[in-house]
Amino acid sequence: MKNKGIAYSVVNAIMAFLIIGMTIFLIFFHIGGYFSIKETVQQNENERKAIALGELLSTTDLLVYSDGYTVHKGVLAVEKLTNLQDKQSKIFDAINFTDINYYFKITDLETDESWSFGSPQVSRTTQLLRIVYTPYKKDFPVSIKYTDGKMNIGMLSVTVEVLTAI
Amino acid sequence: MKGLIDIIIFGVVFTLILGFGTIFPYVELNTVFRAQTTIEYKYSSVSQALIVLLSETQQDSQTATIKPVIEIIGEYLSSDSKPDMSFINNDLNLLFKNKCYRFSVSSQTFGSGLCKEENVTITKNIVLPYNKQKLLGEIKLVGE
Repeated sequence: MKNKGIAYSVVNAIMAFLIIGMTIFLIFFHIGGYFSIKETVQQNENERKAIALGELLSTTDLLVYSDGYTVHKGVLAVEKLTNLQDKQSKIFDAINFTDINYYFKITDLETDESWSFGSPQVSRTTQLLRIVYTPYKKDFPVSIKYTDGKMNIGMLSVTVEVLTAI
Repeated sequence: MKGLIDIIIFGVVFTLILGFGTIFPYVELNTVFRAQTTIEYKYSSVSQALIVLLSETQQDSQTATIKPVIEIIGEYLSSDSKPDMSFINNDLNLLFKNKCYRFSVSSQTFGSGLCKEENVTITKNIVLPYNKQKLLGEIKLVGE
């Protein structure tokens, strides 16, 4: 009878450990999953923002060639690219992504001439935190239209930087 | 002892079902969204690359005049004397950098190598000049 009682206690103890172990495992499993999903969703969101910005810039009449009636998507007029810095605030005002930093580079792939605006952020360390800017870059093929009618192939690169404090 | 093994098996199965059952829908949804974004971007990018290539101006090797590439390809497809199209490889190398592409005009193909089947394929018809028998010619760009 006494031995039977001990056996029951051992079984109960093992069951208790098992339940505690399972609970701890489940909690860590969910916490790990939560952070993993959060990170992936954030990356996806940043890629979407970069794509949205690229689509926006390749259609805005601030940069794109227009014949007075039609804005030609993806055809960047070179005379509109020459004074980009002056237009920077106008373009940036139209973008409402307040939580990210972004910069753009347009390159004529045939002549290697390039135009850019915005500025990349530099990661830095404060007294308590390390501030890191993680870049997400997307490229969009564009045509560069010169005033003499010449059309060259070009690339619009959009870089979105996301602030992370470690 | 048999009861203990049953409890352990039940515990493991319960944990797995609850864990994966809770996490899996989120992972699956996010994977679907991510795949959708990537496919849309790829399709838009390859489509835009083809438009950029066709609207680019190049010197026609036969007439020595500056023409849009779409006209040079049209002449290549419709006339017996073929214009030089070697610039296309160079242009596509610039557009696609180190990525895979394959551009087909009639039987001639320009390519960086083998592309996987799941890459984006854009097919367009272009107008052929001086050709009453066939008004449209097909061009195809496969890219990633």
